[in-house]
Amino acid sequence: MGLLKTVALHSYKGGTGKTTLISNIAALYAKNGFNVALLDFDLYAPSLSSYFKKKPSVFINDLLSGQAKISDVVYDLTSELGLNGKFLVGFSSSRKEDVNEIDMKHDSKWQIEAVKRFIKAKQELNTQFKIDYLFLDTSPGIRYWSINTLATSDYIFLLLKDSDMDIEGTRKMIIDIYDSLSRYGAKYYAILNKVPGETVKEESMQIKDEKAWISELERVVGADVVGSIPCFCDIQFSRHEFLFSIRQPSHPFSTRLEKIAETIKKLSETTKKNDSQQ
Amino acid sequence: MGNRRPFDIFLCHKKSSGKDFADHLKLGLEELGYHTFLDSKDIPKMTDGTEEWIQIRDQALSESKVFILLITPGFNLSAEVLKEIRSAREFGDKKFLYFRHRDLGRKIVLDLEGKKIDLGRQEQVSFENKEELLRLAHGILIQNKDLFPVPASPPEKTEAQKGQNQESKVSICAMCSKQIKDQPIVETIDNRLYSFDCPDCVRTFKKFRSVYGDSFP
Repeated sequence: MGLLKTVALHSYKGGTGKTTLISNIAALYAKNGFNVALLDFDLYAPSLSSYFKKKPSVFINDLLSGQAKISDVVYDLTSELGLNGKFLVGFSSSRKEDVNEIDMKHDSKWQIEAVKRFIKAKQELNTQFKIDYLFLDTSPGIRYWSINTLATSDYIFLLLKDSDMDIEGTRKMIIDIYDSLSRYGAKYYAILNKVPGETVKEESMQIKDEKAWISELERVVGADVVGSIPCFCDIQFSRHEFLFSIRQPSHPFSTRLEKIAETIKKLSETTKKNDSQQ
Repeated sequence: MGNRRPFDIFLCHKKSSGKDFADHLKLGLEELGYHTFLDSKDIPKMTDGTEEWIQIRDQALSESKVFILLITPGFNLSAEVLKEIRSAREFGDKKFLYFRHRDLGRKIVLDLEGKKIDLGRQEQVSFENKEELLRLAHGILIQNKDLFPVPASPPEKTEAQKGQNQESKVSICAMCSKQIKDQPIVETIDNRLYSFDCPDCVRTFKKFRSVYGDSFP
């Protein structure tokens, strides 16, 4: 049994592109032969079912309530998407009652039991399904289940845009949450998305500015920036971007994502190996 | 005294430098089912310095199968410690386990009334903190199946202990609630003992504690 690596994509604000990026990166891993599970832990505003155009009957919410096992919750999309490694996706419910229930109706005892059920499910993904990478889409900001998702992750990638509010919020989140988690082995990094002012043709001219911007952001935010993705209008304004990195691998958006996927892989291989040796 | 359970392990330590380690080890080993003698916990305070105190200590020493010596600063200067080591050696039937704090060098010579014992020649296990000490001790005890052929069972808890240690039952992982089949990883977190199934569960538990404090779990 290999070591399961859990990767979460998080942000201070919504609309940073978490779902698009994590779905694409997870699919790239499966394309490259890794066994991957992608779970929608944006329990307050789920979107993976809409992204994958699925109408699931069993949700992550059922797993957390103890009414379903992880094997009931994940859907195997490997052959449908023509991927080489396993690609399992777990959706959460967007029903108003289910979304409200998460924080409003359940007491703290239920929440702790739900966390434990999720931890157990993670282990089962590793033992039963031989999953190598578990990708978690999270809710933005500091909410109960965003924190829970982050606390169960080995690698957290903070997605941010070029906005003062986003930068300041991210900086604060790092101080309030990430630094605590990192004391116990979590690693966190930043990824810039929707970098403005860059066009495909002029990419080489813009790199210099981008590098300066990254260096400034690293100083202000306090996290290493391990990747950046320009704002591509065709992606940004597409009504339904769907696994661009798989369907149009030569598009600059896809090549950028491939670079990021490779960086994540390198980071996780190095750090998990070091951790297991300690 | 008549129906009480005999001690499995005798813990020998120097109070000024080894008390915290000894307290933690005693608590942890008891949780794991090893009836462990520690003078400060197992002899009534009012008997300090009396013949009764010595009797209880000697009784514990005679019935213990394992003698654990905590090598902490100045332990070899304590007359009581040296006396306990000498007595334990005289029994001739004890398994000696030497746990040395990592700050100390390995070569220590004991002077037991003229007889020199070079601890540097003995098998020693070094530890850095109390959690590591407990983990190492538990690991060694499990390996010594000849001493404890039947898995040690935790002693009956008092009502107060039952309430206090609900989370620290050895058979269930405090993080994933899975039944622990192999050797549990026992950790002290905020002065309470928790058993875990695997290192990932320990890390995850600590991460949750770091953000939620003692409201978790």
